[in-house]
Amino acid sequence: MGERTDIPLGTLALMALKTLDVMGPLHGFGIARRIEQISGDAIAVNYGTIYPTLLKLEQEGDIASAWGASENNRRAKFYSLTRSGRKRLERETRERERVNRILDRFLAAEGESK
Amino acid sequence: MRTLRSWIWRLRGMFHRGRAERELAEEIESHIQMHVDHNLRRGMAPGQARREALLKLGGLDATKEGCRDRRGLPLVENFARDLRYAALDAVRHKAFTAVVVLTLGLGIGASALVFSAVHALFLRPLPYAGGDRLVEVRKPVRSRGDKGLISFSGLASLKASGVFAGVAGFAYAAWPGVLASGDDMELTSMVDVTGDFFAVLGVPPMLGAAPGPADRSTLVLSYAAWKRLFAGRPDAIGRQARLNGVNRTVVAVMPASFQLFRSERPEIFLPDTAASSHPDAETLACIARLRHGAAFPAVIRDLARVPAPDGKERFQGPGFEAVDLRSSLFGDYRPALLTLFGAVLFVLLIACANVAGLLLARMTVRSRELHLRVALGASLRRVTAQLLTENLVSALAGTVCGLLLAYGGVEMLKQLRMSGFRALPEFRIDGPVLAFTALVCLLVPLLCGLSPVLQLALRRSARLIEGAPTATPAHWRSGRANVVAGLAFSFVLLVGAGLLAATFFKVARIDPGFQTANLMFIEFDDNRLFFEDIVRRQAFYDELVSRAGDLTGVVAAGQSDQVPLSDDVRNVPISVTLATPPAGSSGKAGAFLRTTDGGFFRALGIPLRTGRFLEARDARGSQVAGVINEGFARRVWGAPANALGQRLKLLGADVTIVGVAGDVRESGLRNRPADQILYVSTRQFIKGNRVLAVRAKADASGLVPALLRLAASLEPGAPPVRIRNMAQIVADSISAERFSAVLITGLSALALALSSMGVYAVVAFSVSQRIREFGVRLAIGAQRRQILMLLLREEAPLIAAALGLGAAAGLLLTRVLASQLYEVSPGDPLFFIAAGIPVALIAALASCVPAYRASRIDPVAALRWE
Repeated sequence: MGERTDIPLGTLALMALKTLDVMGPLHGFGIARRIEQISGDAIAVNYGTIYPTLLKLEQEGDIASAWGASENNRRAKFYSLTRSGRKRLERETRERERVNRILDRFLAAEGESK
Repeated sequence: MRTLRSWIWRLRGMFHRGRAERELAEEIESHIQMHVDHNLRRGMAPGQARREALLKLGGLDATKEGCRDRRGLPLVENFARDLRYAALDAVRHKAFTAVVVLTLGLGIGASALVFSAVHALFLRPLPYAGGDRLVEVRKPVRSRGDKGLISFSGLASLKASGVFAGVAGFAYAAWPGVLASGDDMELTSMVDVTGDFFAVLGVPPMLGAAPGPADRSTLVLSYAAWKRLFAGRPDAIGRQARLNGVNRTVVAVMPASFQLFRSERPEIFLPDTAASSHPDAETLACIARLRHGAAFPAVIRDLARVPAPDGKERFQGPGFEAVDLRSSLFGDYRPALLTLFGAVLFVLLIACANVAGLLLARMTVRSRELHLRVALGASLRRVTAQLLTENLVSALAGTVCGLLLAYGGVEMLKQLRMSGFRALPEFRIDGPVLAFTALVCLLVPLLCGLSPVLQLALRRSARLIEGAPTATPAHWRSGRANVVAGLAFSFVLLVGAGLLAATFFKVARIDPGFQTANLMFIEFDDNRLFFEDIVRRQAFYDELVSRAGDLTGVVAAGQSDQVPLSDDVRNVPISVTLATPPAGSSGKAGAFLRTTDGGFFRALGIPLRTGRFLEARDARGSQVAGVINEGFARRVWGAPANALGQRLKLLGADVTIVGVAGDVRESGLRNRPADQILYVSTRQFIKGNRVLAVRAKADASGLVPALLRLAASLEPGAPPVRIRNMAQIVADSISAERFSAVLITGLSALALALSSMGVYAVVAFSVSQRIREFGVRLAIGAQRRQILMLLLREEAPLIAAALGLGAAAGLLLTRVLASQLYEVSPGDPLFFIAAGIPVALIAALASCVPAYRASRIDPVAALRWE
C-alpha cells in the first residue's frame, strides 16, 4: 500500500465539486467512492466526513440537493453543482494551477544552482 | 456573500432540527445500504458487508455530530439550552433561588436608588440650555445664611459691564398668590423674574413666546401650572387672568422639564416685575451665562473689577462673586451623596459575596455532576458557560426585583417631602439609571460565579468523582469569610447609625432660647405695596401689631426683620462705637442689628436678664433705647448687669442700653448664638424687611383668617403673604440630621438583613452536609439539645470574629462622621456595645433556626440520608 495522507477539508470540498462537475448529479456515497478511486487509494478518508462538507457546500450555495432514486432503485439524496458552484470550481482550479506553476519554477530554479 | 448565505441557512437550521435529523438519518441509512449492496456485489458475506460499510463510514454518531454542529448556531443554541436548564434548576430549588434573588435584589435595588440620586444631581444636564456655561452671581457671602442677593441696580451694573453674555435675575423668594381666571380662583406660587430671564437660560417656551421688552403685565406659566390651572388647554395663551388683583395676560407656557430649584416650586413667572420693586432692594438672585469661549478664571478676574452698585463700604474687595451653577445648587450634597454611593456599592459587594458563598457551598454538591460531565467529554468552556449562564439568570431575576425595590424607594422618597428635597431635581428610574443597573447586572454573575468556576478549573481530577460530596475546607473558609465580612460591615454601619441618631435627638432637644410652640410668622411682600414709602409701611405694621395683640386667642404679637432658624437669617455686622469702652478693648464693635418691638420679645418668650425690653415709649423724640443679648454683654462688659446704661454710637445716633435679653439661636440650632446682637425699636430705626410674629394660646393657624382680615382692613392692596409655623421651621432646620440618621439606619438594616441571610444559608448548608453525622450522634445517645449547642458553639467564633473585625474597622471609619456629630464622640464604647448586641443576637438567631431543625432530625432517616 502506498502512503496514505489525511486531507484537510477544503481540499475535500474542491474534490467533491470536481466530482459533481465530471459525473453530474450524484449521491454522497457515490461522491466519496469516486474521490477514493481517483486519488488512487492514496488518501484515507472516512466516508462519513463527506457529509459535513456537503452540508457546508450546500449552505454556501455551491451545490443543491434533491431526493431521487439510485441505480438500485434505492431512495437517495442527490447533489448537483449550481452555477455559482461551477464558477467557484473554475476559480479555485485556476488559482491552484497558478500556485503550482510558481512553485514549480521556484523548485526548478533551486535545482539549477546545484 | 457566501458566508452570509451560510449564516442564514444556519439560522433557519435552528428551527427545523427535528426534520433535518430525520433526513440525515435517512440519508446515512441509504448510504450504508448502497455501500452494503456494493460490497455484496464484490462478493462479501452479508454480515461482513455491513460491518465493512459501517467501519468505512467512520462512526455513525460522529458523522451525525459533525453535521449537527454545522447545521445550526451552536453558540445561540447552547445559550438557550443553558438558560432553560438554569430556569428549571431555579424552580426546583425554590428556597435557594429565593434567597439568592432577594439578596441580589436588595443590593442592586439600593445601588440603583442611590445612583438615581447621583445622576439627578450631578450627571443629568440642568434643564437649561448649556447648563455648564451658567453661573450664579451674587454678592460675596460673609456669614452663614447670607444669600448674597443682588439689587436691581446691581443687575444693571453687571449687564453694563459686559462680562457675561447674558444676565438674568429672579426674586429669591417665591410668594403665594391667588389666581382668578373666569370664575375659578386657585392658590398658586409665583416668582418675579427679569424680562430676559428665559432668553438667558435659553429655554424656549413650549407654547406662546417669551415676553419682549415692550410687553407689560404678562405672566408665564410653568407646565404644572398650565395643567392644573388651565387644564392644559392650548387656548390659555392670550387669556386674561387676575393675579392678586392685578390683570395679566398669559403669554407663554414653559416645557415640563423647566424648573427653578427652590424650596417653594414657583408655578408662575412674572416677567419684568423685578423692575417694579425698589432698585436698591436686595432681593434678587442672579444667573448669568458665560461668553462663548470665555474661561471661568478669566471671568472671575473680570468680575472682580465690576463695581458694587451700592457704594457702601460694608464690603471690601470685589462687589460680586460667581459660582458654577450646579455647584451652587447642589454642591452641599456632594460629599454626603458620594459617601452614600460608596457605602451602597459596598453593600452590593456584600450581597455578591453572600451569593458567592452560597454558590460555593452548592458547588460541593454539584462537583460530582460537573466532573462527570467533563470526564464524558464536555469541554471546560461549555461547563463554564453553563455556570455563568446560571448566575446570569439569578442576576437578571435579582435585577428585576431590585428595580422594583428601587422604584418603590423613589416613590417613598417623594412622599417624605422633606424640605431639603423640595429644591432638588426629581429622582427617576430612567434611561441612565437602567443602563447602570444593566451594567451591574452583568458584573454580578462574574463577581459571584468566578470562584466556583475557578475551583472547577483547578480541580479536574477524577478523584473527586468517586468521593462523597462533602465540603472541603477550602470552600468552607471562603464561604465563611464572606459571612464574617458581611456581619462586620453591618456592625460598623449600625454603630454609625447609632451615632447619627443620637446626634439627631440631641440636636432636636437643643433649646433655641425662645418658646417655639404655637408660634407663627407672617411676611408680606411689601416691596410691591409700599415701594419707597418706608414711613407708611412702618405705620402699617405698627398698627397691625397693636391690633393683632387684641385679637382673641393671641398671647402676644410683635415685629422683627427676620425669622429665627429660617433660611432667611442674615447677619450683617454694623459698626458701633462704645462711648466708654472697658479697659483693654478698642471701643469699636460690630453688631447685628434687629429692629423689633416689645411685643416681639413677648411673642417669642425670650427671657429678660436684666433691665427692660423695648416699649412703646421708645419712640421718636425720646432717648434711643437698645437691648443687647447676653452674649454681647458678657463679651464686652463681663456681666449683663454691667452693660445697663452703657452708651453706643450706631449709625450716627446715640443708643443707651436699657436691657439685656437671653441668647437666641437664630442661624441654626447647632450654631452658638451670636454674641453681638443689638435690638432697637422700630419707632426709632426703620430698616429692611418686616416680619410679624404671633404667639397663640392654641394652634396658631386658626388665627390666620382673622389676621389676614385685619391686614386687609388696614391696607386693601392685599399683597402676597407667606405664613410659617415655627414648629415646621424648627423641623426643617434639622432635616439634614434627620436625613442622615434615617439613611444610615436604613442602610445598616439592609446590611444586617443581608448578612443574617448569609449566616442562615451557611449554617443551613453546613447542617445539610452533616445530617448523617447528626443521625449517628442521635442514634448513639446524644440529646437533641446537645446537637443544638454543638452547632451554636461552632458558630460562636464566627460571630466573635465579625464583632472584633467590625469594632476595629468601626473605630477607624466612624472618624469620618466626626464632623456631623453633635456632643457625641465617635469612639464612645456605648454605641459599639449597643450595636454589637443586635448583630450578635441576630446572627445567633440566624444560626439557631437550622441548628434547631438539625436537632429535630429523626435519627433513622438521617442515617439513610444520601
